[in-house]
Amino acid sequence: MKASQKKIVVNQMKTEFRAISENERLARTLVCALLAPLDVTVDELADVRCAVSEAVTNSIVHGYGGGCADRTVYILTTLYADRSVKIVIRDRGVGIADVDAAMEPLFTTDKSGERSGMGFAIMKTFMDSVRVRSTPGLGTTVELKKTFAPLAAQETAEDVQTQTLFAEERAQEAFV
Amino acid sequence: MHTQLQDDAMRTPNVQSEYASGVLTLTVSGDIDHHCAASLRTSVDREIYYYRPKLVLLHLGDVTFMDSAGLGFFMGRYQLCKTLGCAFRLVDPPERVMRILSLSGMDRKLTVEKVYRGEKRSTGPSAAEGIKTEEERI
Repeated sequence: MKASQKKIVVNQMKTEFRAISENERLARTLVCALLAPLDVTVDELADVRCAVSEAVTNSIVHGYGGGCADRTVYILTTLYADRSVKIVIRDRGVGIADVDAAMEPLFTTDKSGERSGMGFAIMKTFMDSVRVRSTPGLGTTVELKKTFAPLAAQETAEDVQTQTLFAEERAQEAFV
Repeated sequence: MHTQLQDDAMRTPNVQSEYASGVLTLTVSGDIDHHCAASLRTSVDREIYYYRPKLVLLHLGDVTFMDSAGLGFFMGRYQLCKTLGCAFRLVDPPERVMRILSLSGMDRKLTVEKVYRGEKRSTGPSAAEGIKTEEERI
């Protein structure tokens, strides 16, 4: 617990928008835009994009019963100095009575066969941790966390390239 | 026969449809999320009901984003095709889409065709008969 309190926050974004399905794209795009300066890999960014989309869709579809123009979805995104991110997605919707059951892969309330019930399973796979707190009648909060790979690997590759270039130049000089 | 199906103003995924001798080829481009899935469903189902094909090929090569709503969308179309007695296949899913398909085990339930190093590979229930049908088409 102490470790997380010591974490240095480098950036933070508070977002709130109407609980309508058009905003699913907006939500995932905004969160990913905040991550851009971290220079994360394409795959890592796609992981976050998908997880945010799942959580926001859950809020709109389940929390607010398919969308509600006068209700709001809240997202708090925090970037830390250790290249990690915490995304808290909150709604004041109907809530989930049995969170554990809802988080089971393939669990769905849908009867039409048009929904997969894979939302939470995808969030768990793509993020390092997923925490859900919910009170029926009051709403649901989903907390997603992920630590990105250090830039070192990328820098090393560049270093090698530069070193090779220098070595070639030196070899040429020696030749002349 | 080549038709461009333009969806509502929200520049949501675009479906291109091509029909020839019992095979309906639908090419989806753009994002497949919960919001976009609704209009996508309407467009795709309209084409399936109109042509009543023997085989539906859903090309996914130009899909830029997909979440679990896409899985639901595939499942629904698979069920519809099954009811109408036609085969349903996913073609050329991008790596991210494939990851979600395999995560849910749907790559084993549905037939997925992927061109890998110039060689066509299929997974899923009708993987073996897949090549046969391709030959029949020609």
